[in-house]
Order: sequence, then structure tokens, then C-alpha cells
Amino acid sequence: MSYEALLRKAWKSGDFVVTEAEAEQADPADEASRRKVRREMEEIAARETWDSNSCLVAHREGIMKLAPFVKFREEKFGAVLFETRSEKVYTLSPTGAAVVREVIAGAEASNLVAKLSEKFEDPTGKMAQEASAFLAQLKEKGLVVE
Amino acid sequence: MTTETAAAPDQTGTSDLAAPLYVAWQITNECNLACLHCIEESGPGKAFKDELTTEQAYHIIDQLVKSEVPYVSFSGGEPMVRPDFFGMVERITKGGVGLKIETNGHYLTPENCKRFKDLGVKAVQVSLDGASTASFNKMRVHGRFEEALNGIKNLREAGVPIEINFVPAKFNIKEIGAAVDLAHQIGAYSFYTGKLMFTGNAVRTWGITAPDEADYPQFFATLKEKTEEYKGRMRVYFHEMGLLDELRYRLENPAALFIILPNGKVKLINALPFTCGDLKTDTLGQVWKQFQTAWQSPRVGAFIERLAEDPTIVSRLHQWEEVGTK
Repeated sequence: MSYEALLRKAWKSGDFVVTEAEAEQADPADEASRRKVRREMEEIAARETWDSNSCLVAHREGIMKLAPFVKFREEKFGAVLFETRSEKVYTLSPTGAAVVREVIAGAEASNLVAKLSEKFEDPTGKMAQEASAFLAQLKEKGLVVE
Repeated sequence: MTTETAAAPDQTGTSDLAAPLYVAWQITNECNLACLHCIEESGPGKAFKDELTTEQAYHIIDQLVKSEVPYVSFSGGEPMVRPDFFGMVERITKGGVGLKIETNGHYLTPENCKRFKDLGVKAVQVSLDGASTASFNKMRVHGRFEEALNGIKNLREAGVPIEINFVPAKFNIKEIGAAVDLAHQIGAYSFYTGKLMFTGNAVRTWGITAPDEADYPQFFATLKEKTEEYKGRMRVYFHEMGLLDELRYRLENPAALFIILPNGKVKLINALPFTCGDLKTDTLGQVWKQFQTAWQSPRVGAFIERLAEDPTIVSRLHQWEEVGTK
């Protein structure tokens, strides 16, 4: 059994354990297979480290955060978001900046707009409407992940 | 760098920003290669005599961090030949600035690529002018196609995001389709190209490097097809504007970015000879203010208009002229 096949079997079983007997069946000379699996595992580990820091937790608790390639900076007029992968700049109004500040603070998707409405006077509900639409845009563009 | 507006005020210009959004920093003019088209005229033994010391470079990094500049690129010359290169990378990434490295790919050992990954480098852009050994090695004097490809493989194995940059020349322009395919095959997420510019070494080598103008329509048509073909898998960026059009556009719409030269002087844009400060003596904040006024200098506008009549004046690219008041 190749190293790769052995690993896949262990992963499939769900216990992630390779018994000594199984390990003995693996071909130690199968370096190519070992390297391939190692690379794949490192990719998975890197992805899951990110997930465990953000996405998985976020999915469970509805928490949002900025995507890893997004930088935020406050400005006099509001703020800017810089997406380093496409090198795109998004200029934000004060409302937009307030939404992103809440995201950075770890707000939950379900109550972010309500939180903003508590903080700022919004008798007409216009700000809440804008914030809600803007949050949807941020998610759609992949700038905020849940 | 494009600008989009999101929940935005009516108008936001660079003068509204507290600091640049992108700083392109040429950290040395030294290079292991001597490319035919090099805009910086870099090469072996071409380091400036007054390049920034490590201490001076670190002082600039600390200001970039403090000013929350979101994105910085280290280029050259070949940035990786600077002895304190990794010290600079570590200091700037630990400060939270997104960093891109622009390299010819000849120093991308597995160890160096792993260090990039560990330090959180956002992207490494490798220049790959051609889809074949013959065209790459012709363009990149002393360069080795296989070595650049091997470096890219090491980046991929380390999990570092890869960008590819391609400069067209007479002898590689018809390889553009194959070059885009190759970029995707080797794991790039972005591909950049545009027209060869009549600046730097290209001024002297124009006769052997400049593509036939009649080849450009097919070049851009292929790029449009490839943009569609790789949609969702790899971004293909290309600029159809020539140098003059680009500069006229920038005069009206300066981007929120400037160029730091290896000696700390700051240029408005690479293709103009104008500087607006010196980070050996000025603070980043001062230079940013000077940058705003420098773009409004009549000398800048006049130079661009003279360029329309005489394209050869860009050969003065490295005869810097200070504009913008302190």
C-alpha cells in the first residue's frame, strides 16, 4: 500500500490513526507519494488554521471578519478598504466605516445593524438600511467572511 | 490599482487620504541580471552609491507601519540581493503591512519561499517574459528560464501566492497565449502585462526589443480571450494605454501611490523624472504632502506634453528633478 493510500484510508476512517501494522504495510521508498501527501496536508492545515481562526468559528457563531487579503484604514472622510489580491481600493463613507469597525470588533451578522442603530441616531431608519445593504455588498465581494 | 466606491462620499482624491495606499519601493538598483528592457537600468554593479542603509530603511518601514500604509512592494533591481532583505521583510510584515515582492525568481530557493510563507508575504510577482527558454533568456541577459520556473515551483510548494509579469518584445509577443497558459499551469493567481515602454534600457535596445505596432492588436485580442478563458481561476490584467496616455490620465487622476528609490528619494510615478522628497531627511508625512503639490506643478504637465512631441525625452528618466515645495 502506498503511503498516500494509507493516509487516505486513515483519514477516511475518521480516526486519523495509522496503526503500527498498517504503517508496516506502507512502502518507505515511496517518496513521491509521501511528498504529495505532505504538501496536501500542509495545504489543508494552512486552510484549517485560517478556518479555526475565523471561518469555522464564524459559521458556528455567526461572527464575521475581514477577509485575510483586506486592509482597513480610517480616514477623515470615513475609511478605505484595500484588497491586496486585486489591488482594489474601496472608499467608505462614515456609515461604511462604522459597519467595518463593527465587523472588526467581531459583530454577529444578525445584530450588527441593530448595534449601529443603538450607537447612532437614526430616526428615519436610513442608516440601518444603508448599513444592511453595504454589509451585503461586502460579503458579495468577498471582503467580509462569515 | 483601481478604485471603487462603496458607501462612499461624492469625491475622494489622494489629498483626502492621510497617507499613500500603496508604496512601490525599489530597495536596491543592484541586480544579478541585465535585462534588455529594464526600466531602472539595473544590473550587476549598478547599485547606487548612496543607497539606504539598514538603519535608514528600518526607519522608513517604521513610518509606513505607523501611517498604516496597507500595501508595499519591494522591487529593484533584484530586491533579494540586498543583504538585509529578510530583515526588512520581517520588520514590515510584523508591522502589519501587506507586502508583495517583485523578483526575477532566481533566488526563490525552498528555504526562502518557506520564509515568505512564514512571514505572511501577500504575493510574490515573478517576471516571466516568455513561454520558452529562448525568448526568456534573450530578454533577461544572464537569466535562466528553468531557474525562474523552479523558483515558482518552490513558491507554489510553500503556499505563497504567485503573480506573473510579462513584458512584450519583438521576439516574444506572439507567445502571449502560451505565456498566460503557462502562468496558470504553474499556479499563478494573477497575470500582468502591457506595452513595452520606451524608457530605461529599452531606449538603447529599442531596435531589437520593440514589437511591431501591427502585432499589438492581436496581442490584446489574445489577452481578452484569455481573460474570459481563465475567469474565476486566474486574473489577467493588461493595460492597452501607451506611456503618454497613461501619464495624461495620471496627471488628472494621481494614484495614491508613490515610488521610493534605492537612495530614499521619492518619485511621483516611475515613468517621470520628478521627485517630491527624500526619506533620508523628510518624514513620510512631509513627503506625502509634497506629493500632492508636486502633481500640480506646471513642470510636470509641461513635461508630459513635451513627451507627445518628443518621446525620446523619457531617456531623462533618471535625471531626477525635484518638484513640490517643502
